[in-house]
Amino acid sequence: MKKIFIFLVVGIFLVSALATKTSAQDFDYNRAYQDYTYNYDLYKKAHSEYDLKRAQYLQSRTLISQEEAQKATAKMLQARDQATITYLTAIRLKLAETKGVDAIQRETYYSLIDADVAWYKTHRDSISSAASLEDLVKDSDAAAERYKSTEITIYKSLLLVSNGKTDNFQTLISDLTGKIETKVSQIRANGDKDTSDIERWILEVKNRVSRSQDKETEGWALINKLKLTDKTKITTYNAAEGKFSESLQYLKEANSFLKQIITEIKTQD
Amino acid sequence: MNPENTNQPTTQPIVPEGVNQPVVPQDAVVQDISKLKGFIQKLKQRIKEKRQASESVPVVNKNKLLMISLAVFVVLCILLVAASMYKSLSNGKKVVSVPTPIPEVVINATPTSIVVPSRYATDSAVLELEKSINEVDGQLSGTQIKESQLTPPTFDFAITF
Repeated sequence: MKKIFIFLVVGIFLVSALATKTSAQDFDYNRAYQDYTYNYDLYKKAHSEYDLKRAQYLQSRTLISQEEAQKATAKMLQARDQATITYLTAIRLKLAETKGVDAIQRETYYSLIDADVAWYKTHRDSISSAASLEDLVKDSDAAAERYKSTEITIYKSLLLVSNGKTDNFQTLISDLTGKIETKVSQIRANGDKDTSDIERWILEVKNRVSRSQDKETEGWALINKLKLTDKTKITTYNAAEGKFSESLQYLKEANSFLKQIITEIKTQD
Repeated sequence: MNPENTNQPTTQPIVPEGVNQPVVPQDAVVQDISKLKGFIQKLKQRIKEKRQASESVPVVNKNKLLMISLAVFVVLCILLVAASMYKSLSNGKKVVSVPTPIPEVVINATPTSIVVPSRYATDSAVLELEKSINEVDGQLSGTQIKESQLTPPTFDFAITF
């Protein structure tokens, strides 16, 4: 009897541990993104309800309408916090899954995101429907103030994702260029093919990669100018993303040159 | 006719140039007739010369005119044929000239076939590199630098009562 009991306890523990592990593994960017879109929809519904109840309260000024407005406002504020939390979580997982993101920078932004998530969780849990309308307005103002810095974290994190993509391609192209250089050295040593054009094109590839890096720097210079008080942070962010698009374009050119080099190597003089 | 000589006998009648007439002493009327004949003869010769000259010039002009007409006709034919070809090519639709984008950097497209392969065309290292480059090319083509899914949400922070 005792053995059966121990067996059952161990079995339950193992099954629950396995289930937890599987659940954690399944929670990837796609799940996080679905979670975010679901919560954002909830927020929009809650906001519509808040708009309605607020209008009714401002019109009638009755105690019942006030109570309903308080409930709707509290629900909307909680939904807003929850949508922010899930959105930040989706960004965190995008950072985790994007190849090429610098490990140190990733950790830095994990910390910023985690701090924000913790703040919004605390804020969400502190909102009570029993509070007065004035308290709820103060709660909302606190979140509005916090969101100014959260926005900067969001834009910088998104730019880091883009940076990871371009860095990944820069690494791949640089590796391939190195291998081609080695092969071209062998060909030149064999003396059975003119490699002068190929060597010139290799320099062009390196030049394109270098320009790609310059564009990344320009992008970061733009985003680093963001201030808490900026009203149109998204305009700066879009401009910075534009620099990363240019960076990617240079990498596409570099890779096209590599293709051309291979064709030249395979073709007789 | 010469009125001054009408009443005076002339031993040598005036004979027009180029006319060989026997010089016979005659009276004034005969002289006048012979003069007239000479004059007419001379006139005829001049007319003949002028006629010949006038006939020779239009021949040249006519040839030129014919050549010009022929050239115009040929040009018109060519234009007609070109117009019909243009119409058939465009299938009756209005041809809109599409501006060709000028790339910032000219990259020659990699030819798919190599006309004369070098000894490295079958080199395993080169083929491996080519495969890797093509893989990177595919990844580059499918990459969107901006995460459009993660466009920041819009929240209402202006909560007032």
